[in-house]
Amino acid sequence: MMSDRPFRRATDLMEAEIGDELVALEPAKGNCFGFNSVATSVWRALAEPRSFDQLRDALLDEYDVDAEQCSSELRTLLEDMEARGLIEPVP
Amino acid sequence: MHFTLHSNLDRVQAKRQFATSGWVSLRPFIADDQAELLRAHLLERDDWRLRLRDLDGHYFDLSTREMESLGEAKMAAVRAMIAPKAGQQGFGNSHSRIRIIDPDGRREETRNILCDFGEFLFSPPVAELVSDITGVAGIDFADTFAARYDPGDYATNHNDGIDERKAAFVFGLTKSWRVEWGGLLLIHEDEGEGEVRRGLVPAFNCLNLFTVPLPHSVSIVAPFAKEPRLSITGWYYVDRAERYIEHAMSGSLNEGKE
Repeated sequence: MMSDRPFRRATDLMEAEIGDELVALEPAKGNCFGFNSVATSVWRALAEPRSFDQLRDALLDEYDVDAEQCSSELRTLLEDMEARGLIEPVP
Repeated sequence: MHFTLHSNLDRVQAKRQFATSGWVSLRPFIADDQAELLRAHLLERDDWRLRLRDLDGHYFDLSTREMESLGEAKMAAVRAMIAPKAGQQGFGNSHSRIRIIDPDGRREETRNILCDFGEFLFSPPVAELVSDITGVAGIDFADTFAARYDPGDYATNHNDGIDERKAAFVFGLTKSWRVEWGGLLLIHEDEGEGEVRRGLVPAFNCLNLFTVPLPHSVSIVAPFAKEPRLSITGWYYVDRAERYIEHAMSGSLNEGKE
């Protein structure tokens, strides 16, 4: 169940940009992540805490996608990022 | 598989060189056909894991699948992020590994030719040979891993002097190497940025044995290297044989998978 609370970054990453994508290392856990352009946009937006609606609206401004599809894919992405310990709901 | 030391090993000469320089190359080390089988096995393996360490001591571990998923551009960026920067000190490295026997005596490798060779390296004839050459009495255990250096891989200057290690070894299984491809085992004069005393070119069926601590590095493998730099590497210890026996008897991580 997706939290209604805003999300924030839950870890520090070493990052390198590859065009509009990102590759990141998590020194604390030894993980490596490859972000596609949407995940990169979300990660960058989460430099400050953002609600689901704020993240979705930013993506709608950036990408040519309908609101329903955007919400669905953003929900999946946030769940994945939370499961990987990259983000967390703001307490 | 049963391994045997090569009949042409010159123990007296090896002992003399080790005493004066702190290292020696034993070549050939085992029968060539046995070394060929080890090399063939390593070339067939597809479960190597890339192990990266930045100079701040952070480790990163990637499977072949993860690397393929990231793609060449992102992998190049990963390597660049952890690469040594000018003026930066510390130990960093990049190479692929298959663990054979870990320092606590756990055999992580499904029993096969690598495991047999790992055990051979601290079997009585080899342990006694290493004790004789190094002057370290009581050597009875070695932890081992297979190492593959591909283009871009390297190890910065370090001395291996941790965890009660008594001697280090690199058993080369590399063929047709060119010195211009890099991957040299460089023995340094000191821990800093001083002179290199000797560069050992990757070779086949050659055991480089050196004292611990001894400053050394592996020079970066050139992008145009056409072969992987293959070796079986590790460290010798004293009074650790019981650990291995205990783990083997109680069941190691891969027992029952043969």
